[in-house]
Amino acid sequence: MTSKSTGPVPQIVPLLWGDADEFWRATADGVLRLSRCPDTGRFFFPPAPASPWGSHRPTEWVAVGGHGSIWSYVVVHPPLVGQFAEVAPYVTALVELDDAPGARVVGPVVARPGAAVGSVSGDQVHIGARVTLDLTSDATEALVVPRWVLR
Amino acid sequence: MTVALQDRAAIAGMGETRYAKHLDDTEAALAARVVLDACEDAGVSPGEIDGMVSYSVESVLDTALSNLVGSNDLSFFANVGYGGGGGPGCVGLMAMAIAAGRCEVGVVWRSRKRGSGGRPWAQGGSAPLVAVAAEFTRPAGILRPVDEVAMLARRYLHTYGITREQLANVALAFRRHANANPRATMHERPLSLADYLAARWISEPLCLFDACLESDGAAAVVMVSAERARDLRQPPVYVHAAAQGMPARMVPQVNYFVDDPLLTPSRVCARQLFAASDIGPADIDVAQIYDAFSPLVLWSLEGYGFCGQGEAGSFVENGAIEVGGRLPVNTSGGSLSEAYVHGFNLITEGVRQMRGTSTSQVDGAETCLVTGSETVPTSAILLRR
Repeated sequence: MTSKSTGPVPQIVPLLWGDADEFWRATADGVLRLSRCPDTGRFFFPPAPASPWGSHRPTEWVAVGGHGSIWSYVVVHPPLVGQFAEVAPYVTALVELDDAPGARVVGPVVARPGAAVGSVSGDQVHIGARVTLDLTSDATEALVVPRWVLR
Repeated sequence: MTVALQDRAAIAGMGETRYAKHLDDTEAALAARVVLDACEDAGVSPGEIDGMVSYSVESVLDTALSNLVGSNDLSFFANVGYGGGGGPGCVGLMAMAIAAGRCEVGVVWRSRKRGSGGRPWAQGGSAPLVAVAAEFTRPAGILRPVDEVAMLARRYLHTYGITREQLANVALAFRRHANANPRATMHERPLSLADYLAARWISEPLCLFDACLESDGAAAVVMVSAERARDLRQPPVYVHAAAQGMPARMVPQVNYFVDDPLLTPSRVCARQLFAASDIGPADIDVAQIYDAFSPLVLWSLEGYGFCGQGEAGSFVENGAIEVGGRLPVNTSGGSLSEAYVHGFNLITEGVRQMRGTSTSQVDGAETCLVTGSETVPTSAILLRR
């Protein structure tokens, strides 16, 4: 929604503020780690310090694989802010992981590993489409946001 | 059966500003105006006000409003959380306070300059606006409330085979009601199915007409006991039942992570509402359903039991939610076509329907459901005359 200005575009980035730090530390290391209940083995998202189930023991952080299916997605159009204003329209999706059922993880859908947000169009995507995790580090970002590559 | 609340408190007066993209007055001035108007409408003195409830996101605090309108000492004051989920909850909380003897003359209000002011999601930096989940969803490009709703809407339309042409009935019905309502922002702007299908996307599968207006405005009601209301200027509008609902493991706005995200919060609210009510879904004559985005209306039609899960796309066809249909909904035009003031204009339109003074009056209407938003912890009231 912003017109071209001379200043830097304000970036929308993850915050480190406690309960989910482990998630972001792991993605920066190229690993997707999710929180799991130590009693029931059920995953949950967003991460939390204690399981909502069983004896509510502290969360286990478990590395999961990078394959899944699109549960739903949106094609986002302007008006937008931050870095997203310049790449719209773009597709972002909620993905169910094969080996962590119930833990849906959100992220932009991109054409190939390291490709830019907005590199696929809405008509390339459908519910149920198979995707692979991309945790390619982008030097301009302090933290790595998971992305999904269409298979 | 919960009986303590039933019909013990009533809405005795209401006030509303003009609704527009921009009003010159401040939110405080608008709030004071509608509270004074509501008192005048009821025939009570502002100096009698001893209770105040509003949304937790309301910027005009009770302390400020108490000064502005010259209230009595306040013996009850509280807020209800979660933005558009909380409007009917404010009325329900005030009804409980009056029934419990905590106050005698209560006001409930919302004043908001969303039209002139900033969009909350466009505030700078990365500060999350809602709970922990926004920490994940906003950096992933789900920036605005419309994006958050569109994610669930896509899955919902897909799961139940509901088409855009069916969804369009929500926007088209409310626009027709707005076309009959001179107060509505879209009073003079007809909307056709062709217009809807040609509109620009905001967040696919939602287009411009699936999203509410951005408005300046304020509205208020004054509430008293049923006994007192019968002696006042206007016919009483009784709060027959009130309820709130926050599903287990809920994440506000992005409730994507429960087992079935399509089971929306209204299901929890409806259980308590109808358990406390002599009125069931089949007895409701007219409904004002929170409509910041059109899919919310389909989910609430299912959640409050007007049709089965996944059946709302069919339910809204053939004029069913227009005046003359089986359940007229948002008879002032609602948030999509009258004004967006966090749903408070749905409460005032519910009052009008019970008084028989709506511009799209449902003949003989005796009961009206008013709901708060889906996708957040929600609330609802059942009004009767």
